[in-house]
Amino acid sequence: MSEQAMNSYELIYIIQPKLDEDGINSVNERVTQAIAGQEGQVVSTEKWGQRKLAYPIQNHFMGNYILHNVEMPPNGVTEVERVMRLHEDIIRFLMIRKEDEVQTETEEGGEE
Amino acid sequence: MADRIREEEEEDRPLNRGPQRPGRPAGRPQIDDDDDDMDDAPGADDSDDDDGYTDGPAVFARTKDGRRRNPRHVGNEVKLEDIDYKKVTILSRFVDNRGRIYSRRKTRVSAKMQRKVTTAIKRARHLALMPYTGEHVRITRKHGG
Repeated sequence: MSEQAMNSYELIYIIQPKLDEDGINSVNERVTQAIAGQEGQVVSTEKWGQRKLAYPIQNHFMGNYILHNVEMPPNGVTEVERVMRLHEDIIRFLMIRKEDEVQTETEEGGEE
Repeated sequence: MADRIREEEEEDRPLNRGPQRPGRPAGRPQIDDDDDDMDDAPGADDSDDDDGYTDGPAVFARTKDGRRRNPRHVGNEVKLEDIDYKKVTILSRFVDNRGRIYSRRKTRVSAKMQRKVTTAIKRARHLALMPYTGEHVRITRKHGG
């Protein structure tokens, strides 16, 4: 396969609040794997910690926010999104392409 | 990153009531202030005109008793690059206390800016960083602060 164009994406997701530190790390691990499986890589990760949600999602009032900056070929996006949607501990996510001015959207979330 | 967000919140503190309440910007008091200013200094009317904007439709441009209303200058010193769905404190200025996005007529911001603001707010809503409706504000407030 030839050299593929990489895009940078911003992937942010909310993990349900009842999970402990280990649980959060395992979700994190799962997402990172999914990205690696698409020949992408996580450039940096930010954990915002527990935050109050502006409205309840699936009866949760709090959520753990995690943000990844990702480099990934564009055709891996659907697969990563699928993984996110199927993961039960991820209650919401958003993936957008970062490109300073032109921002194209690949978002969508795990609604129940 | 977490640090970056916290810094911004502190900078914006005087304009907003608090970072934990994204749905309720300091909108109300500001409106009252504007009206008070008008009462205090009716002679200052003309100086308001040189902001380069034409007046909105008559319905908006005049208050009930026919006086001209001050533009609200919601996003006056906000820079285009600062608009981001993560910066809730900035976005909350463009929204009323029920979470409704202010129209361009009220924000008085360029079309490009308004477009950015709306998408950013919609993304923030999706991630539960901002409320969709006043009902959301009520529910979360009831549920312990």
